[in-house]
Amino acid sequence: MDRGGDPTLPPPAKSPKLSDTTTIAGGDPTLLPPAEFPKLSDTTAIESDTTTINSLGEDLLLAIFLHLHSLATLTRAAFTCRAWRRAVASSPAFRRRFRELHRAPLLGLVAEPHRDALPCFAPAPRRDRDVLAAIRGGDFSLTTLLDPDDWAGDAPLSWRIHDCKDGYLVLLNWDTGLLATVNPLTLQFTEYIEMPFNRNTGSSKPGCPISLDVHLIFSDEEPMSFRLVWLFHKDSEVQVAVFTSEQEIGSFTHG
Amino acid sequence: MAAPESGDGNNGAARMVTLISSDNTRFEVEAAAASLSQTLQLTILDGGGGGGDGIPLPNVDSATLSKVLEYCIKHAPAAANGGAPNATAVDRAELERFDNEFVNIDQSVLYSLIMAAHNLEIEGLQSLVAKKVADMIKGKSPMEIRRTLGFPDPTPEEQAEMNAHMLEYGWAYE
Repeated sequence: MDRGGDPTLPPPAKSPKLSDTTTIAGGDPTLLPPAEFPKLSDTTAIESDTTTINSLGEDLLLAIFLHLHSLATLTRAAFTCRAWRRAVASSPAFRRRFRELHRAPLLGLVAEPHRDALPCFAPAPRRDRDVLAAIRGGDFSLTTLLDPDDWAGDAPLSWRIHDCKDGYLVLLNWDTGLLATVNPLTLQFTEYIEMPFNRNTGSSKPGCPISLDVHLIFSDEEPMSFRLVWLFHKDSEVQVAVFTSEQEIGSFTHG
Repeated sequence: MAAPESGDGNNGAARMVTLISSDNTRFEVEAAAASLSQTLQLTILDGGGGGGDGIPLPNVDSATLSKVLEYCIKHAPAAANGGAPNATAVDRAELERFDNEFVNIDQSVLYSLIMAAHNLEIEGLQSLVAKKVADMIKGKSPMEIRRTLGFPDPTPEEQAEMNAHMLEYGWAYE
């Protein structure tokens, strides 16, 4: 798509100013901007004849991004400027394609060597810079569970791994009746949930609830929010408690 | 396969078509090379582009078009072989060497090329240039990407956003 200028001219040393077009999105810098912003090509039509990367439409920019080799690279690219962030934020189709092409790498394994110690993490033996950066940048020792100011600050360290899914660990602490969901890469999202039944009645008595299973349910599009479904058995009923990543949204029984 | 310059396979001279750039330069190329473009292929199959007519390409200037055609001419024999299942390793290595050198050019030319490839629907070329630009981005911080691509310095506001992002997404940074 020629923009009518003469692209055969040698490019000037510096690309044209973008500042007037890149101050659109305000607000919380950590949030992706809404999708209704104008297209990249509209906001960066600049007073120059030189073809720059911002002369490309969003579709071509995203075609380039598909060739980036990891999510970490895409994340850095997306935060290079607001127009790029907008391009990535406004295309669920692109993000779906990117996920298809770039499966999440294995960062390592978690194990439980001791009954009364936190689980241990062993990094995957890969020499990949992005994987290494992720391991170094995350809290895979799960020290968040030791935080004295947090909800589980005085809980015994009897956390058992229940599940591991989409980067989240589900840990159960039967001594305190707590469940924790921890994402070692985003510790501010550690959640604690009280077990949705009275666990002190003793599991051998008839009529006491028995936990059947816990499931984490994610949407690909919003990895930071999830639902947790807890199935348990009580008085010959199967009960279900559903939690969102913020709070319990509903509990209902199923005869 | 042994005679890669034989064009569309007809006996005698290969069929030629004329393409006209936005600045009115005429390019005469083999139909087989021009047909790497899905857009042009349709016109050519309809019998267009021959004789004195020529196919106008109002969105592609002559400098870009000549570069596009350089790619098409080089890749036409392999494309005619249906992705060259019987190409030798030497042929493939030669094409790869050509591709690497081909995209070793100024950024502004790369961007004009990818736009032309997109316009003309030349998938291989679009993908080749996209990969080259992606290679210029990878392994760099947002600030390094800006410098590499010749962006102006960020405003203080943008800088603050970038810093906040780096704090929150530490795992994506070295």
